[in-house]
Amino acid sequence: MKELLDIVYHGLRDDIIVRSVIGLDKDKEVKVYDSIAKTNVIAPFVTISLLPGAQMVHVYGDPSVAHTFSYQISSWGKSRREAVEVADVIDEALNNYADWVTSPYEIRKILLQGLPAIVPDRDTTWMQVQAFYDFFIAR
Amino acid sequence: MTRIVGMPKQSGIGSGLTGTVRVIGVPALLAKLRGVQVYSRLELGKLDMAIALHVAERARNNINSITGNLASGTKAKKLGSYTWEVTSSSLDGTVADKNSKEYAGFVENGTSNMEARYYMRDAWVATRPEVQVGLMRIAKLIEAI
Repeated sequence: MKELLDIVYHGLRDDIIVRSVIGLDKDKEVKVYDSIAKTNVIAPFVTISLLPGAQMVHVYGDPSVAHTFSYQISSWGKSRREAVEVADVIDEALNNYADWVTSPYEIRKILLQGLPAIVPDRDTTWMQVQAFYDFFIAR
Repeated sequence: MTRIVGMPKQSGIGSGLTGTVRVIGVPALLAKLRGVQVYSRLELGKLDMAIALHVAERARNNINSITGNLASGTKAKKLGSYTWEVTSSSLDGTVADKNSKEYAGFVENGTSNMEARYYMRDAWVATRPEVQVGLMRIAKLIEAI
């Protein structure tokens, strides 16, 4: 399962537009993080969290032919406008999944669930755009 | 069982078919279908309630409770014959001193300093198979009537 999650993680990190909009942290890594950002990272950044309910599709007794899972992708910005700009860039990057390195898997579909929500942070003055995506990946 | 009696017959060469056709057993069939309707309504209503209560209970158990405020503010509520709602709100909690701010969404979806906990989504995902099993059970019971 981890290799599937890494496909999305690296796909977003390697996107040149995402890199240019979000930038790098002090470790020279693109600010796309798993679940929670590193300490002392300043917005804009993106966090990806796996939602419960990932499923494998069995075909002819092979349990790992296809997988469906969902991610919460939160785009953080210092203002509402910045958060929305980051969310747009991430959405664009997800639409370009054909350019990702995914072998031996193939991404069949990425679907946005419903509409993203713009919510303020509890601990800072930042804003986040919460979007939920369904991924369907097959071998 | 319904049956069709009487056969149409041709009255002459070049003319159309005439005759009387009667379907027997319709009132009994309608009565049976009404019984199935009443029965399926009852069973669906019970299933809806059971699912909602299970989701609420699982969500409460998923919360890493400190004051008990968010857990006590997670409830199932009936909205209609087949509609239940499970909500979670710290403002609905029973720990009066602590429920002055709404923080349920932050616990569920996370903040800049805290990972998302997905206590509500986890509860729904864990309960979803019960919906499928319940609906299949009702379908089989109706089929057997």
